[in-house]
Amino acid sequence: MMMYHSWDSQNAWLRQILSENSLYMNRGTAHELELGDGDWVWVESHHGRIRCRLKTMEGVEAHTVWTWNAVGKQAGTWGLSPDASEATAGFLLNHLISELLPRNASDARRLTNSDPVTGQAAWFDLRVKVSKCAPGETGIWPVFAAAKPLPGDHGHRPRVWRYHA
Amino acid sequence: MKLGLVIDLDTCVGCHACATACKEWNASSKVNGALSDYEPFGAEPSGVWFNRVRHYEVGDYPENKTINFPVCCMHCADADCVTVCPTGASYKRDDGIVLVDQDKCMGCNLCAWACPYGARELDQVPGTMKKCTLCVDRIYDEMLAPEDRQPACVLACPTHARMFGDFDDPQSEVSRVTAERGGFGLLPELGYAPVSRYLPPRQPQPVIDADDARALLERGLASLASPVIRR
Amino acid sequence: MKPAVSIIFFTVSSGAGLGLLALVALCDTFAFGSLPAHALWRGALLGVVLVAAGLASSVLHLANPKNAWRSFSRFKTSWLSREAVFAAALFPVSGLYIVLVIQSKGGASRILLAILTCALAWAVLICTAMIYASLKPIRQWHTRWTPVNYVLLGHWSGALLLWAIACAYATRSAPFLLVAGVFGLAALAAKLAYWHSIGDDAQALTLERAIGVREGVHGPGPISAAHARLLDVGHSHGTFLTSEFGFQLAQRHARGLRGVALALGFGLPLAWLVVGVAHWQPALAAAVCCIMGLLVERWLFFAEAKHTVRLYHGDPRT
Repeated sequence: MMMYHSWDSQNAWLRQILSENSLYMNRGTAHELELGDGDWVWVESHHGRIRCRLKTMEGVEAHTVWTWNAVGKQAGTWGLSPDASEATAGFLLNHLISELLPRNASDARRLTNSDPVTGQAAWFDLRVKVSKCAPGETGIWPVFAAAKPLPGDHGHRPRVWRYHA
Repeated sequence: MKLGLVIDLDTCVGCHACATACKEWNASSKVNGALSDYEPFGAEPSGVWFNRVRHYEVGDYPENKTINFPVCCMHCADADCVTVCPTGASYKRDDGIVLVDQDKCMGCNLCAWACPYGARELDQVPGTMKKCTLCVDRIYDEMLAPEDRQPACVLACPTHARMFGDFDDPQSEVSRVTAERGGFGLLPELGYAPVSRYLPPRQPQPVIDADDARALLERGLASLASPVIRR
Repeated sequence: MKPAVSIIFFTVSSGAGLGLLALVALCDTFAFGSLPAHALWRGALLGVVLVAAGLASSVLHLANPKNAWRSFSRFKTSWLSREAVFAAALFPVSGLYIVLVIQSKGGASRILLAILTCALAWAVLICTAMIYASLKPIRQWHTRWTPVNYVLLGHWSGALLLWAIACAYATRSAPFLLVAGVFGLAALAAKLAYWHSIGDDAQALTLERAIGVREGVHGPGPISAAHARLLDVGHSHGTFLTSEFGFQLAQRHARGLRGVALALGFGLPLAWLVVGVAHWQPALAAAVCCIMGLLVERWLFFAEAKHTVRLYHGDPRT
């Protein structure tokens, strides 16, 4: 969660700690699915699909996958260089998740897919299918065109940054 | 005096607060000058850190354990980084702290080669080697309240996984907790006598019956109500 | 270890220069091979130039060279300081020696200066090698083979240069061909022994040792005997440590480059010696070929060295 609460600052220090993310899966489960550490995989839900890299680990329940979400960014946003790893090697789970709960037969309203008390996103019950990409199917997907720079932003960024107090 | 740190691998959650607090303190420190960051908005951001938190897994699922592992200078009793330095920039003080004199360092990297822990990093801007100072400019600063005269990383840690003190004093917190919990130094076989100690993760205590569970809960609640705030 | 071009050039050039200086001084002192004065001083001067070029190159490796003058100050503890002191002393001593040879002045002072030149050249060779050999965190350097190799390789390349000089200026170059051959075979044997010894990684440190698994880390299962692996290194991109210590050389490239080093550094020059054509041009070519091979050998000395800090970055063993 090194990125989540640094929105609006693109903190130069936190970027060094975490500026890309992969999907973590239990190593035994990955083995059963014939997936390997570092493989490009499709992750599909009832709502959408994404392509990202897989990382295997021991310390996750066998049928759960997770990632550091909110790291992935559209190229050119956040004042970052368009080739920043947030754009090229970071992804969002958001594309898999519906804003609304499934239609309820007894109720015409669509309810928001969030915690009923606090309203925050409650995404822990999403089921996904993870499968290996075909050869040549590499890279983060979906990818959006690089955002245009803000007016007056000529793209000059310091190459060396030193915080002095 | 043998000043050093204790890092509790049982309670460290790997949040990197210690690492960033160190960067923050040293932005105002006169000892080393600011720590540089390179390509902060670019494709390959990197920079100088004195403390880095690494993450390891031990064993196989489900008997696995995640260990969050902060690594910084151990302020070794027999520091080879001091021995190999040709200019005398690298030196060990009487209180045990190993420092780099920024006015003498010629940036030959030999001390970094001598350190097995990767505690030293070259700052490309001044071309000198920099490392953990054990917040020497905090711990002796009489303008700070006594409880604040500790390294920034120790004060920042939200789970109290870091402790600071004198290992030559058997009554100090660092000495007592090292003895109680079996604190260990890293790679002692290299002969550098690292001073800082790591506390191993505790063995989980299985709950046997409801009475034990209630006793544990009551102990836990009592410790939360304790007026003694341990830093 | 990141192979730094400036350091590779420094050790090969200085090594050859120091070996040549020592051999010239010894040949003069013991009147070996009857080298005339104009051969002796040219040899010694070439040696001094090679050492100077190497040292100048080493200064390029410094990130803050304005403090380089301070490197003489820790003679008591630092091998690099000792190397600096002996190298600094070598220039006036060998310079005076060269002057005496040019003036064809013999006598006790010339012998003394020759012996001092040789002793200082050996001292610099050993101190340079000990800079690397004394580093405990680098298993592939921390072996007695490091100074043995460095001294022999310096004398091998120096002896080839001396043979070329003898071909140009001496009446008989055969004694110098023999000296070169002896050093070549000894250096080759030592190099092969070094590669064999670093190939045995039974004593290598492991990731488990580095983070204290076994003495500290316990768990519900048999974790004290378990293996550890890196989950996350703590940074998404490179650092000073990954840049300086993270160099990765594929096994098949290492094997190929060792072959190149052996062929250029030993095979071809030794073959030249066996053929024994006593003209200075092919002899010099053999010396240059040897030095090319030694540049590859030195590059490998760095590239194949695995610093202990790599364990914290996830390497299972050094």
